[in-house]
Amino acid sequence: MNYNNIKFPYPVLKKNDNSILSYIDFSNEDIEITPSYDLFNFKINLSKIDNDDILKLIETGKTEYCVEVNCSSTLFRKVHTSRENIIEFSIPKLSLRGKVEGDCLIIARENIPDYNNSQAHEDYQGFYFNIKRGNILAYYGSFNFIADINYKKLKAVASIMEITEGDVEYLNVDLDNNKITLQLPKQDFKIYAQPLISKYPDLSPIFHSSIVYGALLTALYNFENYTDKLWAQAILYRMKEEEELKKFLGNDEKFDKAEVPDIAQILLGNPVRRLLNHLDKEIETTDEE
Amino acid sequence: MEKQKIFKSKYVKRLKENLKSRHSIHLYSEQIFPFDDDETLVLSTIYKPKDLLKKMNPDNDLDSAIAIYEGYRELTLLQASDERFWTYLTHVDLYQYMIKRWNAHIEGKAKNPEKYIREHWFLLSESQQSLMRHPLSGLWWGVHLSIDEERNDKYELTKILFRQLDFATRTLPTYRLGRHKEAIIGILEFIKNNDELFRNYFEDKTRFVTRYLNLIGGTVNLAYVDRTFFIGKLNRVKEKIKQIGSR
Repeated sequence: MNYNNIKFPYPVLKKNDNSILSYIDFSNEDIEITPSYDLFNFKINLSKIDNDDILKLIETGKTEYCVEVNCSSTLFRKVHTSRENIIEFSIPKLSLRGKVEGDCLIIARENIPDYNNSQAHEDYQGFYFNIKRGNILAYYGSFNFIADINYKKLKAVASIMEITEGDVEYLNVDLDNNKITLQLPKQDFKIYAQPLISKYPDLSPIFHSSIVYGALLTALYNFENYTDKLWAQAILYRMKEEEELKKFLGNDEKFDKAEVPDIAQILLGNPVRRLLNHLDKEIETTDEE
Repeated sequence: MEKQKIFKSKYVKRLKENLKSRHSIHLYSEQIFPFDDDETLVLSTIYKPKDLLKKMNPDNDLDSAIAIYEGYRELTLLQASDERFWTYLTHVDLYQYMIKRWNAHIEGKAKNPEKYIREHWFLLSESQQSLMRHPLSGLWWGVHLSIDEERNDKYELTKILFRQLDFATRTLPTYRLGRHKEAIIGILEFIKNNDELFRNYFEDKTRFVTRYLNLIGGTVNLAYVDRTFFIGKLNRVKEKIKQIGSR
């Protein structure tokens, strides 16, 4: 839930909000999600806050740090709390699928009559508020991740793309699945499926620069229609995380279509150069023969 | 015991495509739905419940909900939200129940038979609404969210939830509130304690209740609070609930 757009009837410390004039911050650096065999292990840093009144309420046990985790696909919803500003908890992998969202907050553990905050905007001066258990006193921000994505293997093309046999006349790119699906006509698929072709590493530059590159261009040109698909989320994650790709992504998580050929080449690790190097080697080998 | 089967993803997709192209509409009127057993997978940890089909009652959703939940009470959240599992049940294990309970396309009462079958035999998306609206997964999730093991009759609140199917499958799923078990139990406990209040205009009143609590969620983190919070909040608006339908 995006609490940034909510106007509270009492002062709440939020980033980019002036109801309380104090420091609070939260970014991707403050989130650590480490998958183990059967768990997602979370470590969330909520230490970037500077407001004496709220911190005192935590010390006295009247409020606490909270991370609410939500997953619409599995109806998972749970709040994890702590008196420490670094919250660590685990969630079974069998409880999450697709997009998982988290909200980081400070919440009242008990009723706090006559609450005011010395750093609140002057409009609140002289007012006292009757805070109830469960009321939100500070909002750091939110985060999300895709439970089905193996982030460590994202650089492998197979994490976002697969080649299948289809009832098609020509190669078809289907973007409607969680992986970009390249459907080959039955006869072509038979040839592709031969181990000497599909499993032969030396041929990957040829595949990447022709079939895969073409399919990725199609996917990127139509990206905005498929942002809920895992392949799109995986690409978006790489664009947010990798230095070479960051520059292409705007604040609205969109990119310029004119940049698509460059983005596709970076995502595939420069397939054209790899192809040319491969051809160069082939020529050398032929010359030697 | 036989292990539970599910469809492969690609087969679910094919079934959807066949329905969309209207090639398979007529198959949903047959006594047995023809499917390709090669396109199934086996769940290693879940067994096919004994006599589940016999326990499913097309004339009583509560009976069916309890039967399906008891049959599959070991499902993980991931399995209970798996399109391949529910699609297998609607097409194979519980197909005969489906064509008795959801037969408007057979009786000629469905304006758009393709849409009707799609909405009842398949999960429309991976969302909370879709899971809770689906004719089988909605029954399972309804019980999962309302069962209270601490009561003498653990299904006491489930019985209230299924007083009207729309409450369980349409009203509650609209908000995030619908996935917080303490909220569901609080709401159902309040209805139980105020039975007279909910004798009439049940649908309008339950819709008001969920909308009202959702509004409170703007300033209170609802996942943080327990059933007593919800009961307390609803006790305060009893008079407002009373007025619904009487104006």
